[in-house]
Amino acid sequence: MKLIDDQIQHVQDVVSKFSQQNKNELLFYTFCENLKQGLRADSALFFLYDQSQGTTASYSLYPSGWASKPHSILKLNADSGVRKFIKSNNFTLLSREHLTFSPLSALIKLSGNAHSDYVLVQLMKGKKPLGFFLFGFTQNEQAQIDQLQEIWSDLQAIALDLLEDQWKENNIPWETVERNALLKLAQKLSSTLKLEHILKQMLQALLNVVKFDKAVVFLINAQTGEFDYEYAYGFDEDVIDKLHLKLDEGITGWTAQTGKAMIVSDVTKEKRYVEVNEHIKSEVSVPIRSGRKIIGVFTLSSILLNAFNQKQLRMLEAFASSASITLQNARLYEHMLQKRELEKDLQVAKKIQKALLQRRLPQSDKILLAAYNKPSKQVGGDLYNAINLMNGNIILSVGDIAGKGVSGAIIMATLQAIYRTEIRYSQEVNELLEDVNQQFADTIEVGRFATFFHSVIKIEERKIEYCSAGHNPAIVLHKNGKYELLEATGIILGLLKDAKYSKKVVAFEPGDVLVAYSDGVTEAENELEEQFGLNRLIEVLKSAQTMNPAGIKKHILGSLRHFSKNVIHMDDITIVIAKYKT
Amino acid sequence: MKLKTEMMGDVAIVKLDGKLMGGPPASDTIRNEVYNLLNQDTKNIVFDLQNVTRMNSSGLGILISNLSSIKSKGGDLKLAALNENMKGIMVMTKLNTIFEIATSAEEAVQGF
Repeated sequence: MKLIDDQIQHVQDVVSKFSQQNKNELLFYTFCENLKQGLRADSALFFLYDQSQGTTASYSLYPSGWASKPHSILKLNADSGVRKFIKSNNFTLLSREHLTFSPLSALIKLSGNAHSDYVLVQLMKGKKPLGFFLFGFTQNEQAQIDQLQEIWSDLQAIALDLLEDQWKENNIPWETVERNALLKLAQKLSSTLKLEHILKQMLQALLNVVKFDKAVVFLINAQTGEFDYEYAYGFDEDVIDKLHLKLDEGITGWTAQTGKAMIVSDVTKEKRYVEVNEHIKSEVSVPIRSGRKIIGVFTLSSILLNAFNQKQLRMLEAFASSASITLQNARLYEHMLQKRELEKDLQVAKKIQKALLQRRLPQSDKILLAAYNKPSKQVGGDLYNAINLMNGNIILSVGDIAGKGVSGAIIMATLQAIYRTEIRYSQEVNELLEDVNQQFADTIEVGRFATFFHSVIKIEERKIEYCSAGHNPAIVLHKNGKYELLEATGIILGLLKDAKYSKKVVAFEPGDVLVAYSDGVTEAENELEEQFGLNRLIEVLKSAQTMNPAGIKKHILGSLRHFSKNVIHMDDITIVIAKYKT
Repeated sequence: MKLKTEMMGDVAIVKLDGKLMGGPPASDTIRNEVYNLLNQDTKNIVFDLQNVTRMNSSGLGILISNLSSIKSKGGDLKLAALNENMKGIMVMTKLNTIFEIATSAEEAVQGF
């Protein structure tokens, strides 16, 4: 609640602060400012196409959090290039460079602003673009964009309302516009009150008109069709546990299934009644509808017989219908809060992962190393290792967990822990992978698995011993231009507890390069849904053969970026490169 | 992801249609179908993948977990009509050593 109160307070502050200014601007400034805060963006701009001037419109700018003075108005001449650019980059994460070379370069210059990432969001009325927002971020961009995309239809509706008001403004006194806007905002915010709080208030309000001793509100989960939320009023704590009803249980269940309200004047005479409290003598059960759908049921109980009558029932039905919208909004808000919690979890998982992936690569006289890892979302499922062994040899490995998100991150951490423990014991590459697999298979659930490439660079012997559990073939490019693919030598990890892996050996001489990677590289797609592919990777590697690993890495990433252009990578990207010094 | 099941003798051919990319919709749809078949005592099942255009690692996970649940009931799961890309994935991950892969659903049925 604190957050919402703060937001309302903030809006009021902004309003009073700028009350002397042009009022339409103020309205948008307020809106923009709130959007910015809500998204935790660092800056927000709102552009409105001048509808009267056709395609060569000018833009009004409502800056918030920008280097130029807030609330100054900038005008930009724009041609269709701008609109095209915005259309094709809607909701896309844009780097500063990207924007600097776009038709919007003048704007970026003008603002003197320097965020690392930007997102353009079109404001549409039906199919007609009315303008756009530009949000600037300095960190945590992708999460905000996902969030923004999710709530955009709501925000767009509010923005359109504001615009309509503005256009009608000549006929409407400012005070009304202001009040409307604030009211809308307040409505929007108040509808996001906590469900429990709302239910409590609703039931208390009801108490003024109907006498009851206990009440329960059940809500139905739209996906599962089962009750998944109960709010109890007037019950002892220990009874509340008993209140979990199924849809075919009790009067409540009957009401949920039939959509009919029911008065039970004497619960001992009603077979369907399920006793939760011995004192209850009579009960009334009322469906909560949204349109034709039943989204829940509320029951009021009394310790008196015949406590409820038909007149009260009709009133309760009316009450239920007016409560349904509030309840639904509150539920959406609860879900949003839960999602935020999950996002926090994701952030934690991300930190753990970062800690697990090494930042510093080992030093070696003979071998040069480079590594790259970028999760597609907040947390990924790729892992890699580059470890100096006591005998001077180097372990290189890359793994890829099927599935991402928190569960993928946990599995990744598990695998990494098992692997790091196992490599302490000097053993053959295949024995190691077999041990890792055995423990890993014990830990994870059916259907989860990982592909894994494990290798040891034996420096003195000038060879690589390796083992691959169904992983994308690593590439060894020899100095003479010939290459070898290090194909799988056994099945994916986690599937068969007693899986066997065979050890293979490949020559690794001065000038040779080893590249191990995850499928995010070869399966990166372009706009035509074509994949980058192994052949392209080999070609790119050949063309960069003479470079050091850092240069090769840069070259591969550059080619990937060039290939995928505007397509966001769906998968984690991991590349580990080793080169035998010449 | 859509699916349609046909019976050929006592073998069920489950024709999958769309992208086999994991996520609850695809995995639930398939799992429910397999669950129903096993409940009806149909234990030999073929996944016809002719109309599956794409598959990723989560998709593989779906195949594996279904194989496991079918095998635990004493049945078997065979795959049929994989495109080249998917065959490549099966070979790369060595899953071709676990799954029996047939060129067509009919061939797979005859293998039981």
